[in-house]
Amino acid sequence: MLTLKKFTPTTWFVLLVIITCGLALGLPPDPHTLQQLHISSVAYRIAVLILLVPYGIIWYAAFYAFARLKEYAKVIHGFDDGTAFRNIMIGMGALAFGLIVPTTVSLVLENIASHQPGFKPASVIISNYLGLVVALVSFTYINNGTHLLTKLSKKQPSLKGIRLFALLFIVLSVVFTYLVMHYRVHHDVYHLNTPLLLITFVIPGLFAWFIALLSAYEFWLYAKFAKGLLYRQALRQFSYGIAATIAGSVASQFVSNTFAQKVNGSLGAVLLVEYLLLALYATGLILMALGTKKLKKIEEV
Amino acid sequence: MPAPARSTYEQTVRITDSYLGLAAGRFVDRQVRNHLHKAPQTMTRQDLSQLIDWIQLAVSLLTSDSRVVEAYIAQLQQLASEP
Repeated sequence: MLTLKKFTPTTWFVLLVIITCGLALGLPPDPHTLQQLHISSVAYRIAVLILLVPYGIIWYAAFYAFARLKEYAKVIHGFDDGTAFRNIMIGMGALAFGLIVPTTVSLVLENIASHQPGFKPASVIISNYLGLVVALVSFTYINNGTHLLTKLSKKQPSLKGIRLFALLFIVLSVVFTYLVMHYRVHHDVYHLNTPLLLITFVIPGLFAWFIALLSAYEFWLYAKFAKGLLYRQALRQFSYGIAATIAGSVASQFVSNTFAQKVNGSLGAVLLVEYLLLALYATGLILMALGTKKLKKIEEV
Repeated sequence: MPAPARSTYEQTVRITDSYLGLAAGRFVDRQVRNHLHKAPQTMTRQDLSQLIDWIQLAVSLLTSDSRVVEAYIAQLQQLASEP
């Protein structure tokens, strides 16, 4: 019997894309939106599909990187670095699923909210928390892996590195919290009161970003100081990839949790910024996949 | 007390470590098992001479930098020529 565990990342990708596109085409559009845009429901559905194309590309890149990592983690299973890369692979898997599933759920929730306006706050809260859970789970696993690798290389972050990292993170935290509070006070976009917003959304979100950025730093350290000239060369590409993926992921979450909340993901500057960040994200994922292929080749010759 | 003498296998892995890091042990194990058809720990200096050709071929697939391949092979050849 075919179980879900036997599904390959590619199968999952195809399945989830079919579901998402099916929902995008099948769900009845909000009549109010159609009136505002002066378009027919068919034109609206085509526009939604076109808007989903860049997302489809990044989803594919994420599942491709996940598939390559899964193969590599299987080859080195049972070794010290095998455990580390397995954790990174699980985190990347969560990130790949976390790119599609919340989008699909949001499509459904927003559709319900468009026909039942009273559901709008619940729709926003569920979507925001879903994104937060994905970030926490994926970045925790990735960080478990990168931390194991730094232990293997016996290379700890330098004092200068820690100070610079702390400074950058404090700047990011202050700007993010300021923007969240601004949108909370002036537009009430999160539909949560201030203590609840800070405790259950801002703090866990910042924690997830902290471990994400720490993971990129730890992997960079490992790639720079690991033994083995050819091994290091293969790790370098992976290191650039993981750094770009994490930067793209954190930046797109930053935008979608602040500016995009106000405009509600509509067309315009925010969408353009989101697409640029998705491009960075996709570049990172492709670099990771190529780096993983090089690492796997070492294990095959 | 003098340190115990390292086996040929251990010395081969030690040299390979400078090129393949954490993958070194797995790489040498695979070459010995696939091409010499024996357990890695039982490999001898005589086996090494034969293994070097296979290792050269495998490493050439990993890098186009011939200087790296030559330096690695020279270290292995030196080990093989030691008494």
